[in-house]
Amino acid sequence: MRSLFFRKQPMAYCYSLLLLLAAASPALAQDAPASTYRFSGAVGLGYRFLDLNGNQGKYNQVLNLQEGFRVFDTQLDFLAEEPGAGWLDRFTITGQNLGGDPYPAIAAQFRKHGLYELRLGYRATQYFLDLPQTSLSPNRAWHDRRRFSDLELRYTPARDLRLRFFYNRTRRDGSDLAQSPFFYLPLGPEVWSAFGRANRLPWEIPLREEADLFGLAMDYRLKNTNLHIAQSLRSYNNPADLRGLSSAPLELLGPLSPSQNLVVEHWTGTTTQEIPTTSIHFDSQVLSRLQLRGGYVYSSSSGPGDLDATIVSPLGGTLAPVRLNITGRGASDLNSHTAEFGFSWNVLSRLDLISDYRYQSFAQRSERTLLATRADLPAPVSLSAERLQWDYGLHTLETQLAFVPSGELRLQAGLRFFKQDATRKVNGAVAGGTGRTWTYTPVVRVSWKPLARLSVRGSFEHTTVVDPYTRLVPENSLGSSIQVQYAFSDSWRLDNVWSFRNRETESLAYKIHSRRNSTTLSYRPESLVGFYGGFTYDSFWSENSVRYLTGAPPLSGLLSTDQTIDRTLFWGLKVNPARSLLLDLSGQFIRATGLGAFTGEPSDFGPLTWAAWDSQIAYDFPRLGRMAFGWQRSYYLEDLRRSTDYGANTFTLRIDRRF
Amino acid sequence: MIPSNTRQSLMQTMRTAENPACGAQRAAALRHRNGRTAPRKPIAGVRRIALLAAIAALAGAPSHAQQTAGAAADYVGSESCGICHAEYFEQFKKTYMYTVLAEKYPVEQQGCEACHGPGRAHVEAASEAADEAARQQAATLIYSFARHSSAENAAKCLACHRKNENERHFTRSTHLAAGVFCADCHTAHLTATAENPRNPSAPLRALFSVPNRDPERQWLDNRLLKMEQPQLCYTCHKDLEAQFQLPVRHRVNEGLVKCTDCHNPHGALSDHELRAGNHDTCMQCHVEKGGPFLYEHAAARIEGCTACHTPHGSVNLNLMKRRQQRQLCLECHVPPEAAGVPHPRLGFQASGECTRCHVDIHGSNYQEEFLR
Repeated sequence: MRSLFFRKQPMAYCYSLLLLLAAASPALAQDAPASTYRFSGAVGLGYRFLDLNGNQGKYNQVLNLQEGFRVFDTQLDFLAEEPGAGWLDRFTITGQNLGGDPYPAIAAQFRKHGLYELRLGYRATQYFLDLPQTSLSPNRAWHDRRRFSDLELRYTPARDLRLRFFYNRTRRDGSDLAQSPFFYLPLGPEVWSAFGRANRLPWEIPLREEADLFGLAMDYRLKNTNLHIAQSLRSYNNPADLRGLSSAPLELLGPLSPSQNLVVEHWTGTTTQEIPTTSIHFDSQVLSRLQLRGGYVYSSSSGPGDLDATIVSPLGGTLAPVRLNITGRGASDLNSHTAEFGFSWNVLSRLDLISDYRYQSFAQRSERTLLATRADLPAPVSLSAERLQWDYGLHTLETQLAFVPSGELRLQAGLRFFKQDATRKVNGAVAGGTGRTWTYTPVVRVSWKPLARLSVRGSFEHTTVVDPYTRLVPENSLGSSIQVQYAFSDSWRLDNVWSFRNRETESLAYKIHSRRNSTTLSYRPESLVGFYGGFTYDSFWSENSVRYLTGAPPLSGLLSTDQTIDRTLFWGLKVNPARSLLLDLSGQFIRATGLGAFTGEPSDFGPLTWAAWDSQIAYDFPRLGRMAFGWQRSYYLEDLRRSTDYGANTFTLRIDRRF
Repeated sequence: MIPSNTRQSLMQTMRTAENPACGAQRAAALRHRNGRTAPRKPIAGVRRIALLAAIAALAGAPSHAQQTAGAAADYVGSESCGICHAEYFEQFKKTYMYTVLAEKYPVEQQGCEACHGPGRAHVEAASEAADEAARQQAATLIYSFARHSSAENAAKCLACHRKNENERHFTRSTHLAAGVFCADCHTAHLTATAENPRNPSAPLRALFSVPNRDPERQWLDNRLLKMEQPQLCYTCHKDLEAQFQLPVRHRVNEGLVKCTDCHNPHGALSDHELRAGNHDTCMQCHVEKGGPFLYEHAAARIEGCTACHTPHGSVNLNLMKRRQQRQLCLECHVPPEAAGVPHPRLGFQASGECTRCHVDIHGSNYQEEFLR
């Protein structure tokens, strides 16, 4: 009952908590002198002008910075003059990119040091994918906005005890748009036959997904043992009503083709989930050289899914229109258990043995019924009810030896081992998707800092997979990375990261090679200027044999090859040429090339270029604050699909003031 | 690598046998405590310490919080530190650590000396130092994080900071293996607090007008991190910085997502130190993709999201591992090794990507081929 109430009124829980906190504040402040606070803050306001040429959809996908007034930055701070004296030591609110930008965020923090901390947050993201349709592109588009609201309260009544309450609400609004055929349900092929397959319906699902997560947790320290207990409940609700674009009726060809007009009168699907999770973890310094840790997590997901649809088909015009009703109901339960145990043993003063074992399992049981009803049939037609079952177990064992011969050098070597069992059953019979996989990976890591100005880090690992679960997982994977950081002087610094990975399954002619090198040079000669520039080269190549079951010959011997090379150049320069004048330049230039094709076919895609940079000049006025003018330029070019090209200039005028 | 709490109890026992007036003995004890300047003990000594520690632990060694100050005279208080190290001390005073590590705790857990150890020997030697050599010698009489290994330093911090569940895997973390410890990312006294023209803006960050907040404020509000994310993470992970600049990306540079939303930098058992298993990490935000579904896409259920997606950034739509999605699908869906595809070859070419029809590719509640 309570969970139902709070699921429907989640913010009520949060407000109750805030009220409780407010009510408790006098008690917290008991015997405490009234504290005075220092107040400070900042605000940054401005207007952005946009000049966009080309494809709006691509611009929205990669940047989506629109014209208008914005609150770029706002912050308020209340700091106690004498921390620890009152019931609040620190209270801050921040906000950024408010007023229409795609990624706004607001956060508030209340804190009394050592007693409680309350964090509230809100952030949102907009995602656009709405590109010109071609015969080869995915016929899918999204305009969606995810909103995340968070609350976390940490209360520390005693030094060794901390209580936590957390809440998260995720909401997704917008539209899921597609053009897809509509003929796969019971009686569907009989009613509209191949006609439905050959013609696609443009449809839209308004998104109204909601997920809430409540949790309570306790962290407790007893002598040398730390105990962590958490209980949470996640609920998920997704009502989906399929309809035509822009709320129009969902029709295949429309009233102009009455003999072939397939009309979806309504299509409603609902999914709900309840997921309680319990976790218990501990770690303990049982001996001076031995630390033990372990834990157990139990999670259960359950919920029904419903479908209710009515489709009217003219059956090609030879018969009276037929109304087909489809109703479905399914339920799925998933129980998962995770147990883990590990230790760190200081074998010698410079040698540690670290080992962890974890067992994860889940059992999923699902049942489904689907009925189709037609007026001209004496009884509903049913797809036989299906019982589906997944059982899964994964053993993970990882053991490492860490040797620290000196403060400058650390060597770590170990072995990771997985054993995975998956069993899938349909109506009690073992089905495809059942198998056992073994994986073992030797890992070596080195960290060496021979000089104060030089550090080198490296890693090497070689993974062997016996009977991979999917062909996506190669049988052999060999990879290494080396990172070097070197400061030539106090002003110059060089960073380089190099890595490679070779993956292959020899029997399937499946190979993937990737190479990556990233170099960054920074120069900070004095306090008035700073510069950095970097270049990353990222190469990916894969090859895979493909055979089809049916179709025109040849049916085998095809190769799927894919090669992509990303080159990323980025830079930043900041100069303080005069006391109140600031120049800030930054940018990036990306050039990706590559080909992806099956034998004898041309590549679907080609090179693309994306450049984006920002130039800003700012002047600090003594009373007004900082006034800044910025010019942002970006453009996107795709060599084979020019319809998605765009070029955009934005100009920003803003003022920042601290108080 | 004796934990500092146990080590402290042992040292307290040792100190009771010392002559408190003997500075040399105190300094020697301090040098021993500080590890690297101490002479190597024979194995027998190590065994003896281990034995004592084992006995102490089995007998219920007092926890860090319960230890009593056995040598209060070795401690001088933070105000004394502030005389010479004023810049650091003033910054430290702004932190919650300074407020918390106050009089209500035992003397060895107060202020600067809670981390740097007893300061009297150092203070006395420094005040009497007549030349640079003596000053350098005095500097060795207190625990300096710059002179110790990452593991030793981490143990020092974790003596207190283990209450948080996130830190329990730090001894096996990739960061520690790479020689990175707490103070490489966090600092108890940030001194570079002014706006610094030496740090130019990051490309997309400037484009999206992500505010450059006051460094000190950022530090105090974000667990005493030296810099805000993702810039802090980019100081080492330069290759990932480039990935987050690609056209399709998680919105990290835009200030919406933090590296620590997905990864636990303090260590985890999951691959890439994800906060939860691969699937569960993604479901924190992408709840709708998690199911469970009546009809699961086996690759997603068993191999996780990264079987098909690359998480940081890419030039491919939907962060797929291939620009042409059907090439990814056809890595598995070819007979006889995996689920077959009963389509004619030309059907693929005419129809483009597989997800044009298989729209519910993550899982469906009513259609086993993920169709509508």
